[in-house]
Amino acid sequence: MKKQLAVRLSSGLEVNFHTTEVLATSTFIDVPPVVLEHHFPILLHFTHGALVSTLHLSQLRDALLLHLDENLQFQSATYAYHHPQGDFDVQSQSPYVLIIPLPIPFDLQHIQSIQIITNTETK
Amino acid sequence: MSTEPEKKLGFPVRSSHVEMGYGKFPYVIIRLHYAIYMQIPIHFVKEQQEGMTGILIQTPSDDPKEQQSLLLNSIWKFKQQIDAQKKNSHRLCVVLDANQAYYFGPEGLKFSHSIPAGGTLIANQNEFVAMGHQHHIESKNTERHG
Repeated sequence: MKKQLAVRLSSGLEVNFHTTEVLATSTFIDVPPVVLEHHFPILLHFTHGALVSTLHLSQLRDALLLHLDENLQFQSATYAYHHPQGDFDVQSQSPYVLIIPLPIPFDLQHIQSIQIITNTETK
Repeated sequence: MSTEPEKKLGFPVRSSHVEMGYGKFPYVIIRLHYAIYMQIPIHFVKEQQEGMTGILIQTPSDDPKEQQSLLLNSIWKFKQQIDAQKKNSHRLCVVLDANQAYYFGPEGLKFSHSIPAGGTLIANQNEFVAMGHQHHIESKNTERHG
């Protein structure tokens, strides 16, 4: 499903991302194949009900992962730089992870809110 | 009848412009008219400098991540300035690499994988920079980190 997300910054700017929402029913997800299939930006939505998800990021293109709570509020971030070749996993307690490509032209500290504007397409 | 391959029209970003910072990421593209674009280089500087062409973003940091995080706010202020000067809302984008740009449009600010290319590319002084080619130089390292 395609979703338009608006990232509102403290400057008043609002950045729109047309994301693909990918439902993850398992606690482990291999992220690079998901990115290959859907392209950035991607909104991972964990629906498995467990507390923690493991995201495998080895060989992922440079990207930023924003960990979001159930209300899409920004909790924390992970940077994946230089196509990490070795095993690179991160764990997340968030039900949503927004993955956008680096570089990022705004300061993460300036994120005020993230909202779903529209569901633009249903697959 | 010649058997030579047909020569392509246009030309890439000239080396004289590359030396001034044109064709290197990140940069701003203003759409002036259908297929006519203006490129404005972006330079990260520690203190104000004379004689540089483009938008100077002042920062003490050498960290590319910190420098790049200043882009949207700086370009937004730049857009407000030129909109007020020309009494017109300019359609522009900041291009981060060959696959990423953020467009300032009537519907707001939008991320896209598509970057402007082709058409006629001019510099700030209305000089031709490139025509019928991509707006960046082909190089393993076309990113300017300060």
